[in-house]
Amino acid sequence: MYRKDLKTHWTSEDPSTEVLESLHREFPVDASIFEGPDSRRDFLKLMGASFALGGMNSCVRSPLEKIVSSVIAPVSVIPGKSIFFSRSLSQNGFGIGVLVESYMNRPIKIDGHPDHPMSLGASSVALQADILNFYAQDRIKIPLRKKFDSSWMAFHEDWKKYLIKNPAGEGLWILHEPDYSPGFHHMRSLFVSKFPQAQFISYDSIDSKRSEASELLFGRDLIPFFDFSKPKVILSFDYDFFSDPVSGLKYSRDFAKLRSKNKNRLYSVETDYSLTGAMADHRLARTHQSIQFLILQLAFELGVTLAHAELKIEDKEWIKSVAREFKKHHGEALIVGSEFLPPEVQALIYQMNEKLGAFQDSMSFVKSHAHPENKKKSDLYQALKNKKVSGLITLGVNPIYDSHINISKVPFTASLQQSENETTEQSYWVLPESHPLECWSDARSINGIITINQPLCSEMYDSKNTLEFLSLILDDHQSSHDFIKGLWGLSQNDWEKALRSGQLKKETVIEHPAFKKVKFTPPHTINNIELHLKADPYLYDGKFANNGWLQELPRPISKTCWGNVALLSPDLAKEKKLKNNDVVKISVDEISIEIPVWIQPGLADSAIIVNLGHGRKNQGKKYGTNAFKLLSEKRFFVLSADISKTGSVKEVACTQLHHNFPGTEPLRVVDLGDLKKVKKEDKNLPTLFPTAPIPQSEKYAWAMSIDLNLCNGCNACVIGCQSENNIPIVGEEQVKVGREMHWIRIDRYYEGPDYSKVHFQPMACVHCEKAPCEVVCPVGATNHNDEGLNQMVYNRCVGTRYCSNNCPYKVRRFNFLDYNDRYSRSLKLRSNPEVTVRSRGVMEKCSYCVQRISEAKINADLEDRNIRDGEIKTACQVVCPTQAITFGNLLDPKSEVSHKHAEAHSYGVLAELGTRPRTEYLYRVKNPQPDLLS
Amino acid sequence: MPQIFRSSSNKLSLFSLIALFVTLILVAASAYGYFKSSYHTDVGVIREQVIPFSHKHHVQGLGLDCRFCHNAVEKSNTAGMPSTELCLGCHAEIYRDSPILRPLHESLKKDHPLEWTRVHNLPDHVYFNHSIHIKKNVSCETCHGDVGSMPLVSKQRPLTMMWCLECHKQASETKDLTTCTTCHR
Repeated sequence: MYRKDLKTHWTSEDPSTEVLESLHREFPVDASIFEGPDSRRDFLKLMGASFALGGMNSCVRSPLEKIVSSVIAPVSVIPGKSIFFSRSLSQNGFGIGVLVESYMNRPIKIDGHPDHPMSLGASSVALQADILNFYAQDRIKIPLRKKFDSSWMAFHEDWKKYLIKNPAGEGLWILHEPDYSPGFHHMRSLFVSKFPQAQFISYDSIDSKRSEASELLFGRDLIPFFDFSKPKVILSFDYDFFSDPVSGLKYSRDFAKLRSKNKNRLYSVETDYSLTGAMADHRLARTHQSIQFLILQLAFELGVTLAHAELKIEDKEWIKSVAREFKKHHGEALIVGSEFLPPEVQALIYQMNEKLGAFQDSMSFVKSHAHPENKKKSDLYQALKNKKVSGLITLGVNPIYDSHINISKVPFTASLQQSENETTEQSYWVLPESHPLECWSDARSINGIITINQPLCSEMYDSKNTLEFLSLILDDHQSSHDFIKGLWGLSQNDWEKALRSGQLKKETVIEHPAFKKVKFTPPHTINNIELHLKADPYLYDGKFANNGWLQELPRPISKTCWGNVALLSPDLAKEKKLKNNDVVKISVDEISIEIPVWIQPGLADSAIIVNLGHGRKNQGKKYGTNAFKLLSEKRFFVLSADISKTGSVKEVACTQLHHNFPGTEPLRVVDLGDLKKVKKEDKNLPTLFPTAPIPQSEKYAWAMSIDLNLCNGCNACVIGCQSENNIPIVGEEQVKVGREMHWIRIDRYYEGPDYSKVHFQPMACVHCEKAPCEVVCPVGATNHNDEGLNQMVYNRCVGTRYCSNNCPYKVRRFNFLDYNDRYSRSLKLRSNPEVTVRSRGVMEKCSYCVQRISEAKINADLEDRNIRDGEIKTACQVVCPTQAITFGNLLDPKSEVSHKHAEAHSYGVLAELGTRPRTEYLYRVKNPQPDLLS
Repeated sequence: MPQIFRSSSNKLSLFSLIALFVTLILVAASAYGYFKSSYHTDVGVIREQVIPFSHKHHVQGLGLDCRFCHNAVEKSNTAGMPSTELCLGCHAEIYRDSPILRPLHESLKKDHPLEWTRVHNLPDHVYFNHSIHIKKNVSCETCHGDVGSMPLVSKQRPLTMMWCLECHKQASETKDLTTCTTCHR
């Protein structure tokens, strides 16, 4: 769907004729063509041989299998049943409660913990995908000295030799990931008491200006913490709170509380197009500099400052009407701002919130728990320059990639890492780091909940975690279990209780401190092109670059994957005569990178946005460009970048127009005022599609409802589904020809003359009651069951792809190649044992998580009862931070999904075709402010 | 010019037509025979095991219930195999020095589990659940035969899809147990 289609919502700007043509095709051009190096003749030869050998293959008898029993059966494990571990995983140093599924002692899925307030059952893309890091094939397996196999003992000998020269740790620098857990804190103090000269850096390559702002206002380091369930008017200045790595899940859930009743209004001023901007009822796209002026103007309107800014008339009016609304909602308003804004500006935002009465209720502060004696990165650079560094230990961080320091002159270097990276390449000692799921630790959540983390299995390799490593070099040789148990000193009863619940205790961390007033003088405007360097939404600073799920996940708005791009607004692209895929050279102070261009409507006009975390040397290799090169000392916004065309072209993998339905209007949006006027549609339109040939059950009819008003496009459902249903990744080349395998995709639609609105629509198989795919299958591989599931039988499928051709929703996925890695040992262990791993030549699609339905049915039958409402939760439903997805039984009039389907504004996508989809959508509701409705 | 084919050729062509027909029938019959034979279905085939365990001795002789060793059968999809520890519950004393039981003691000593050869093997795309069959009063014998009278266990039923469907077709009047997703997902 494209803009000139005269539709209200579209996915792409006026596309080229090639793209237009592709819209009428089942798959993109050449998707079904074998693009190997072999000629047609070779292909025929291979086919002939395959036929002959394939025939022989059927003569092979399946090999005998072994049943391996246990020596001593573990007490709590019933063979064939999963058990769930309450624990937490760390995000930027703070724990988030998770529930990890373990099947026969192997972790297979990570979900949010329903009782942990920072998760409430939801989980983010990064948490979900961490399970793949656990099974990564290229994890370091044994200690390496100068890249040769060695042992921990040899390392310890070396370390002792180092200590002879530096007994108090003189010139020893330890770089670790941010970790605010009590256990690490204690270990650190033990370390410092033995080696008082050693220096620690809590190393975060994307460090914001939050702590400076906090120091300026309060004289100490505090983190703002919000409650979005209370304010009715929210304004965000370039802060994407939905994607906050630490608190995003809680913020999303809180926001959804009022949004589901249409009782809040969100304004957003931002440069990039973020999830928050997409959810906003009013959005302005402005540069980093202009945003500061807008903040100053708002402060003036609200009576916080006397200075006001020079603004364009429309911006002035915008701010004025927003200020008016804020004054109306005293005590129910909240302003949030990016942590990357200058400290004085952040301070100004806090002052406005105080004036609006947002403190106490919706805004508070929590202790940062950062160690006061931690050194800064600049101190290390200085020490390196002065050759004052005698030893450098990097614990899970990768400074060679993101800071380009040179450590070749440092006498003793050791690096504890899960897999090889730029830093291990230059380290003398490379040591295997345990994955958090295989060792003991503890964690503190940002709101003060302490969790004791137990491992799900013993270490797969000869690895140690940070605690064990520091204990080793302290010559204590304590295991992480003994250390954590000794630290907390709990009785056996309390210990087990803490492990079971995943919550040991709650510390009070919330504060409402008084603060100083700070003056802000706006900078002089420079009318140059602004370059924004941002953490990638999924790869973060590159630490997840080795994760194929995250590499292949389309970025929410641009829909690009496998590598980064320079996002430009259409106007800037026109001015510079750039098209999509043109490679440009972006230079800052004589350092330059080359990167392909992607035109992103709705960006601030003179801004270029480049994501960091790509272009790694050994992980996620060859994808994208390392933009850290352009980053010097916290300059995430470069105010004068040069951009020039290089003339070369690099095709970007983008799923924007894949699986599109041209000429239809699948998305429905309504203004809040008109919501009551929406008429209920006739859901039993006449249809030519035949009825399912088998009688329908009188007990269950499964259905799903997706609330478009709550979907914020975070993509968690896509990864949740991928993890549950053993969905393979296909790689960059295959994505380019439209062969990505995600069963659920999130369609993104633009609206408005300046692309000021974005709407998301999750789209998976809708399980039509009169399914067009079923009638065309020559072998009955896709058919209906008695409970309304459109089932896919892999063993019957011969791969004609007729079903996909006839599917109006384009939700069927075909295994063009053998995408699922069924042979690597470690990846085999990750697969969900309840779902078939598909091989080449088979069609697949969303099954409504039929394995979960089967399990619930068996459990209900074992207990002689019916399945309760809410007992079955599909994988996408569980992970959703805003609870936009509901699943249940339509034949139960009291079920939640029945209620939602009965709403007047519940509609079936393409229901006009007579397909009678079981998945229905609730309208997206806009809540615009009347004054701004020009 | 003489005729190429003599009149007897007619008989030959008739014969070859009949022969073709007969061959087809023979091929079909032997294929049917093959798929029904124990060579294909493994019915009655005894597999070599690490310990020649006699179900007859333990069940008929001692009167043990199946669930004493296969204790997950009512709770889980799998019936479960006894751990070394469970076997040693009795065999730590009884027949302790029998050479047949040496692998059992080795298993405990080396902390290495016993590896049994699977007798009843379903394809990977079949999701069979023991607990629900027991709950619905399908006895162990229905699928496994009278294991209690077998000195060495062998498969008694072909466990083909056709065989499963014989029951599933009539199992329930209220529920359709023949839809694909009952067993395949």
